[in-house]
Amino acid sequence: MSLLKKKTVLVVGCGGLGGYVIQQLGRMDLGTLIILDGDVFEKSNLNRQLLCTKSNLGISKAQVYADFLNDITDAKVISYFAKLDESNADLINKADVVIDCVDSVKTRLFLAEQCKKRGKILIHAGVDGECGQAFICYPDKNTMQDFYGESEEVPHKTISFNVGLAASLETMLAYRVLTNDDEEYKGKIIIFDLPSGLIKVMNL
Amino acid sequence: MVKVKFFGTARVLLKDKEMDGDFKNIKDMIDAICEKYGVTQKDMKQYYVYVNEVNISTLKKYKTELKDGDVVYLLSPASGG
Repeated sequence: MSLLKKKTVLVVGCGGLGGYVIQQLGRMDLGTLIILDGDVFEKSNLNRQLLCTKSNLGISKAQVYADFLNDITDAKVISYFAKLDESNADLINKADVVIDCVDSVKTRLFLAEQCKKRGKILIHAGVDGECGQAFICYPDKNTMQDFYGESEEVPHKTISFNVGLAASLETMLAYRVLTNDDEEYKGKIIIFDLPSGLIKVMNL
Repeated sequence: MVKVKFFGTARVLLKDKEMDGDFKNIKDMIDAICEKYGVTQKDMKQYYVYVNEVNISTLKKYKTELKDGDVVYLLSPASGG
């Protein structure tokens, strides 16, 4: 059995980032994929979310992605139509790696705290306009807290190609962790800013 | 001369890509940005700063000294998904 076939990945959020991440993970021959999202598709998601179609409006994102995964992979797929909170955070225990595909600082900090508490590695990406970042949060560090610090919630603009790029970086980092090949990304941040032509790996 | 490059929402807020100047340290540089672009210290607080690709949080933070030829990145933590 391949190494990946023994692994379980939890994706928190099936929006812009989540859609692309789920699609990519679904083609990686993983053992189990758990996906969690408490929203239904809305018209405003049509601009960037992979499986948001006019015929899917009003349907649970988690359900739509679960159906899609079952169509493309033999992995075990478990989906939850729920937002991450204290009542379901123990789902994290089941995962080898957790992927942050949420869209607010508050939820990210909560997710990072829950992963740290359970000794789990969290893969992060965030986007805004044509820029963003990705990094790995190891449970012995407060990376997410240190990174967002005193950041305030600001309305962000999300564009499909930028979301796709961030999601690919996130999946790449998850792949590195799952295959024990993440050494070069420890303590690093990948920063990208498309109008400036910048994609850099720097120290966090 | 120090080159300061603005990325992400910093570029949007300041409506500029970069600026040059002679600054003693990061604090001096931030003061100059606030004066030139009419933004507040609070506006600047949300950004993280790299000098020659090293995060100032691992240097002397706002007291990090700058010298001729240094390149500073001003980046914003993106939080969308």
